[in-house]
Amino acid sequence: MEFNVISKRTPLWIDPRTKFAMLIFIGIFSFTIPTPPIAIEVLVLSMPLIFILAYGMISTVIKSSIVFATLIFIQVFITPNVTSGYGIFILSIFGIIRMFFPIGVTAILLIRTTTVSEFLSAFRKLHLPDAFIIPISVMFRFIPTITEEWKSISSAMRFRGIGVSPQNILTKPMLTLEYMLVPLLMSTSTISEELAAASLSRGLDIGIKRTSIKEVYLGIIDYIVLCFMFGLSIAMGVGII
Amino acid sequence: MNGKTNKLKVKDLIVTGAFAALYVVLLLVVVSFLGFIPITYILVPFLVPIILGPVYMMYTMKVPKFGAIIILSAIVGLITSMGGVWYALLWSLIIGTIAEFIARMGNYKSQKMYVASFSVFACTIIGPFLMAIFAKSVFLQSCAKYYGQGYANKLDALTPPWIIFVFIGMSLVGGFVGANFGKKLLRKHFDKAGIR
Repeated sequence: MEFNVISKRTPLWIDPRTKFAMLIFIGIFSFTIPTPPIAIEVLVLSMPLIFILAYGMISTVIKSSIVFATLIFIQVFITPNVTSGYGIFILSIFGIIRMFFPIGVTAILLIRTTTVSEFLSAFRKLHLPDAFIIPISVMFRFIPTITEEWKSISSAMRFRGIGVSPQNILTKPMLTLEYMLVPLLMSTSTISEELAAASLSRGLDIGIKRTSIKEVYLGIIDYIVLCFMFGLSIAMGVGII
Repeated sequence: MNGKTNKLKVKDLIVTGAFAALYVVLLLVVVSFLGFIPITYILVPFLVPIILGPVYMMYTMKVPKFGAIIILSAIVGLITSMGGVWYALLWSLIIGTIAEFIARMGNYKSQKMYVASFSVFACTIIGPFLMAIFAKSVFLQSCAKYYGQGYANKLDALTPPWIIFVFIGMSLVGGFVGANFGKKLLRKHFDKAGIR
């Protein structure tokens, strides 16, 4: 009975499969509609933000809202008034950032709020082969780890005066590359072996159906989100938006 | 080598995932840095494999088994096809399979074969560029959409249809340089430390 307490879903918990569907949907949305009406764009972006908020990552939500509001502000008030070539080039960079921004936010939702076990059990329910499931799940788990490792490595490099600066990259590119890559490879190698040992001791290679302490299933909220995205896709396909 | 040790085990799959993460993160970071300026964007097929070569060499050294390279190519294909370029996944899988068989010809031991294998594998980076041949106008439209019309015009001037062979050549050479660089790095740093 104790297990039920642990495995209970928080009110706004969603299935990793829904998060994936959201990532694909927002990816297609951003790439097929270059300039959607702002209301629709806000609606689409608020979808991952609500769930990130539900996981308690308030600062992420505030930061991304501010960035997005700034991007919209630039688009609405500054872009129409710029005519010079360089101005357009710089503004088009903001345009690209705005295009990738919702994808990045959804990727944060997917990567930061999903554990490896949740990934594994959700993918298993799709009956995909292990040779695909395990590398993909580990990959998502590993991306934040690499970012963290990189932060420590680059600060250590700066401390020794061999930091990744434009000057160092231009004057001694291969050496700088070597200084960057060797620690990264070293830590990837050791951490992956530790992770493998931990997973094996939890019986990942046992070859029979595994149970998960966290229940992974599509609930009402998942269906609401999926229906919402489906509806928007149809509206996009028909050409209403 | 008998069949048993040559098969991917769960431990190998986990190591694969970790190295795929490193490969993909470096790929995305480097491409998005180089991607803003048309000139360096054109150099992507040459520069990126040089940076990724050591990762590939380390990865194949850790997982010298059949299937490892194909799985990596599938993941790279999924990431490069994210912008809706679906040929990229197919292209990546084909390239990955060829690279896999080259490594297999060296019985997963020969360093030379791994260098050849990465020269081929480096071509996965071309996936998104393939569009330049198959649907140039669509490609330029999408560039104009993301990067502005001026960028698209510059890119248009730089990309006659035969450019794709130049790209393939660039990534073959880039892959060769990167793999040798990786081989050197591994010999210098990892053999000593006993990580094999």
